[in-house]
Amino acid sequence: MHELSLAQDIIAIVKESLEPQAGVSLKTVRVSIGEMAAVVPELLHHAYDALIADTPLQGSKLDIAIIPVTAICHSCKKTFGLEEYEFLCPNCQSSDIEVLTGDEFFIKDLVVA
Amino acid sequence: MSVITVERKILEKNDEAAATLRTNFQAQRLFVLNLLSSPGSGKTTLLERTLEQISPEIKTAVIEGDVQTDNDAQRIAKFKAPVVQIVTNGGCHLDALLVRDAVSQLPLDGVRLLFIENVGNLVCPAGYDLGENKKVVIVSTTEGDDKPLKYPHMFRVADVCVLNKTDLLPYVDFDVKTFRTNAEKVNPRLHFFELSAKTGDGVETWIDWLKKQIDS
Repeated sequence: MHELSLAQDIIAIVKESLEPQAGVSLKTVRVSIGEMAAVVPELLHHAYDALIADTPLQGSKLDIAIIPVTAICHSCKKTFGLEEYEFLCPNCQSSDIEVLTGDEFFIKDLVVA
Repeated sequence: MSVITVERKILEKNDEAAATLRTNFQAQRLFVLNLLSSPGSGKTTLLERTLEQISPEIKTAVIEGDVQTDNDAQRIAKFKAPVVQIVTNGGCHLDALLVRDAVSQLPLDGVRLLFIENVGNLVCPAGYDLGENKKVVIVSTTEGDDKPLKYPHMFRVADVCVLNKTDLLPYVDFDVKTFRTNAEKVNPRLHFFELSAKTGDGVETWIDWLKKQIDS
């Protein structure tokens, strides 16, 4: 349950990003979360909504995009999606694979009016 | 409506603090382990056994992370190792900023080995870099042998896996081979130790490995 502290980190970055933009009203914070980032989107929504209540950010929403886990196999050079956390190449069963996406956790942009 | 590009990592403050810690640890020739497990796996008992065998030969310090109490720090202090307790007051993990504060309170003169005992939790601590050299996940035989499949994030970020309480294997339904197969599915690069911190069985291999890491 570290989503509360993650929501605090998000709000800190949002405030910094809005500082030079006087007079705008925040509508949406677009966040990307990798499937392996160990972040629960529902909990992050709840935490964000609770923290912005009665603040100038009230009324804004998180828009969360989930990034699937993909990897490349260094043995057969194939790229593939990973499911069930089995870090083996589905093509040649090699464990010499490199994860390409799925660890992300970042704020992409802010939609303001 | 308009769009303001941000493109910033949400954990950037933690990652920056961790990078600074890592640089400082390296400059001090300090080998740092982040110990991760569920509550009750025997992290503190393993630390006690390790301190008993490794110090004073190798000067070792400990940072203890707990939600409440300094019970663990008191256990460690008996071994005359420098120790700082972080009480997170409900926080489910340690972050690099907390560790930075704790490190500043530790007398690190001559210390070559630092253990950071994280809050007992197999979920949240996986996401936080503490500037350590290696992450060690500890599992005890009284937990299920499917733990790696239930908590894959933790096993994926770990470098080392210690299976503790092997003395209880005759009494529990824990299959070591199944456990290792499950763990290797999630992370084929895991380095395993099987030991009992209570009886000392298998601890020697762990101590030898620690000494090698410090020398290299």
